[in-house]
Amino acid sequence: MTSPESRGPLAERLPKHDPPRALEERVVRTLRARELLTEGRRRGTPIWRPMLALAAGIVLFVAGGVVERLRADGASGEADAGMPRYILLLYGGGAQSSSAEAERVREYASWARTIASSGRYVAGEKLSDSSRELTAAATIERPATDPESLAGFFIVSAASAAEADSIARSCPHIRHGGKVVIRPIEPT
Amino acid sequence: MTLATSLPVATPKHPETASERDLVARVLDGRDETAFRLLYGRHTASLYAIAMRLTGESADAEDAVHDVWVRALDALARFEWRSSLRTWLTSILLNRIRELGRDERLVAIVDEESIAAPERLELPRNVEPMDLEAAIQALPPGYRRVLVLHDVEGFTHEDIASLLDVTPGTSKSQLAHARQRLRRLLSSDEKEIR
Repeated sequence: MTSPESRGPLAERLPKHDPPRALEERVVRTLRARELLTEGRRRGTPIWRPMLALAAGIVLFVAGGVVERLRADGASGEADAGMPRYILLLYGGGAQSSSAEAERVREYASWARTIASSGRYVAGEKLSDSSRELTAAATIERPATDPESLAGFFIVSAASAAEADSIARSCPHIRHGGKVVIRPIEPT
Repeated sequence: MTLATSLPVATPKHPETASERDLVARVLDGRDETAFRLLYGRHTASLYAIAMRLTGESADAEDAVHDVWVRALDALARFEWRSSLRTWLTSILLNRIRELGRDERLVAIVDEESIAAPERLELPRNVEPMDLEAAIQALPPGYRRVLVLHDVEGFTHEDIASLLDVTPGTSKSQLAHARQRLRRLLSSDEKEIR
């Protein structure tokens, strides 16, 4: 009986054969076409979206100010011990209204619950627009009003970089037009 | 409500599959793409590595892994957790590779001596990863398959017996011969792997 993480004695002595990143999307497309998977909800892209996004972005960031936790009903620390950890940095992809924002938080929390149930979720937070930059010389208040700025993060564990990619690709932030940057966390 | 109380309590035959049961249930009940991607991410690296080592071709490996997931989801409702999900997926993969004609049946030669005293995995030190990979590729397919499943992927002889429809004794015997051949291939006077 083996688990996905248990490997044989030669595993670490051989070159890695990582699956091509395009393969996952190919598989998902086939499964959607065969109605074995349901595509996640996609945000529409009406022609007025850029103007609305700008206005809503202002509302959203003014309404920020308090760190909103994305913890799934208090879930944390259930990830597999000893497994490499990755931080998923969420950029852009802001909601277009405060009600949409609240719905988004619920959606992300639901996603986090799924990650937690698979033993891969460690932590996650939504960041407010408030930002201070500190150097030895000065402290600069610089609200993060850029729609492409860092909006939040998740920390997950994964057996491999390929698995971390799959977790990130499943994040609803991508469906909402945002970008997810994956950075391995160095063990210290 | 804490997460611990909100998650279904699973009492699986194999404890490590508890979270996988939850993911599989989500895929079955709701065709949940997130749950599928988590399963995909967890198992595909191993499936692809096995496919690469047994077919030797990235295009074949990609096709085989693609077909594994399609077949697995088609049959997921009938999966009864008699083995781990990983073993089940690997069995689908091995069948697919066989269908692609990139495989040869394991010759069921049982060498009682090698079962009683299995060949130890002792390889020359400082073997380069690419040389080791080439040596594995140079093994006869039956040896290669058992060695990849056991010494690379970590399957037990009982797993391999069920995957290849042989006895655990055959698996042990084939592994002993595979290790012996591998060591010869990696010895300094062996040139055929380069």
